[in-house]
Amino acid sequence: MKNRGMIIVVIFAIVGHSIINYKYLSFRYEDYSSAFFLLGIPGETEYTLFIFWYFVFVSISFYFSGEVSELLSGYGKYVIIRNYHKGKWISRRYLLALLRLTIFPLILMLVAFIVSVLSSEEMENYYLTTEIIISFVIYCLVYCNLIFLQLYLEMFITPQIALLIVNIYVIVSVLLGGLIIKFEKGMFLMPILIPNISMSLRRDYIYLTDSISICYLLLIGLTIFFLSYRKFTTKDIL
Amino acid sequence: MVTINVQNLNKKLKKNVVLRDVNYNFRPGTIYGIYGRNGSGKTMLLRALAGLIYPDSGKILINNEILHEDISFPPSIGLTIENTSLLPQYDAYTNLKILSKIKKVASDDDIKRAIKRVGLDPNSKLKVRKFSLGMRQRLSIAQAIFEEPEFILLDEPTNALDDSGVELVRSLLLEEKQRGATILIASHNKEDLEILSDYKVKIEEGMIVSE
Repeated sequence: MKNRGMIIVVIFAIVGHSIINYKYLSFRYEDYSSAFFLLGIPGETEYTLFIFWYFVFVSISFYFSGEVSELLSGYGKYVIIRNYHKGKWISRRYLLALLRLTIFPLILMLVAFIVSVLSSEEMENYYLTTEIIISFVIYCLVYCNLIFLQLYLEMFITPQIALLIVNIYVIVSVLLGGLIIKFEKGMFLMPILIPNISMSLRRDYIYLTDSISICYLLLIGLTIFFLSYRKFTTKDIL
Repeated sequence: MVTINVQNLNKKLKKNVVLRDVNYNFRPGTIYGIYGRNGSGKTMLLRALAGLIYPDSGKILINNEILHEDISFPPSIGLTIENTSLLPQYDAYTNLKILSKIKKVASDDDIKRAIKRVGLDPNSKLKVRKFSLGMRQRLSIAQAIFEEPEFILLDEPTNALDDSGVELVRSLLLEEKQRGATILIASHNKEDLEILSDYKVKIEEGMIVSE
């Protein structure tokens, strides 16, 4: 049902993001091997980095748009009445979303590595540290939370409005996060500006250790899933 | 064979009462014709029986299992309902083939036979987007019957059909009844209801007012 062409757009966004990251961040943060996308955006005025970072998110957001709402209308009704259990059905949808939301960052990791190798001949610079792995897990969890939120909103409003709300939240969070760090005021807001948690460079300012960040994101993700499950199993499909 | 027992079913949508204290027993191998004015609750009753809407109070028992408690949807159901379309980018066969993968109870031959029974060509590669309204309606009916369900819910099944299509669908529904299916037809077409229905059920303002 979904427009699979969106995958190509996601890949394009990933390649662009990797090239820009390498160009802007490789000489500043050598200790992050090739996984510069895990660093995020250093300041609120680095618009080139921000735009390419956002391209990846918005393309993934478009890819998932309508994931739930399409199946609650039109042809989706024929599909859903053939699934005996609503709860199992929605759980399976979220599990599949989780899987895809892990695959996209893995592709990002691979493309970032390829871009770095093609741009530099010093192979000894490529390694995988515990810090990189933890940052990668946090990055995936942030994406899961944001996309799960978008899918949850689709149970109440149109997919277009859900996409718009989540994307505005993401843009405002990143810009506001940059300003908070710059002026060192309003730090207490940082934990609710979730996209900033995916950025290693900003996480240090949020006063959340890596393990607390993971627990915090897991808690949010599970809460959204639980709310989605409850809503979906009692929702009227008109 | 499926038995459907509706007990004190009530449903409000926003502030409108769409189903009001509905009580009814639907027996197997029987065709029920549901009629009433626009907005009387015919389609809502079909949606409730299909498990698509969640009742405010009351319950629906399908073979003694409570809908929304024991089961989410009737286990063997075929449905066509207003505003429900098939995938326009695929041909008739592919549309049903995709659906058949969910329950895995219908073979390729079952799919082709159902398409043939509604007067369409199962081997045609014509995309649904190029179908006429009548052809879409025929395919929608094929979609409802191709898995040989025990419980068939049809909303205005002959609405967009020409005379030959109407005859075809009528004979098809009588065959399904012979097979033992419980069939509910919501329709404004009095002739359809006269010819097909074993029982006619009138709905007014969400209530069953006569049988």
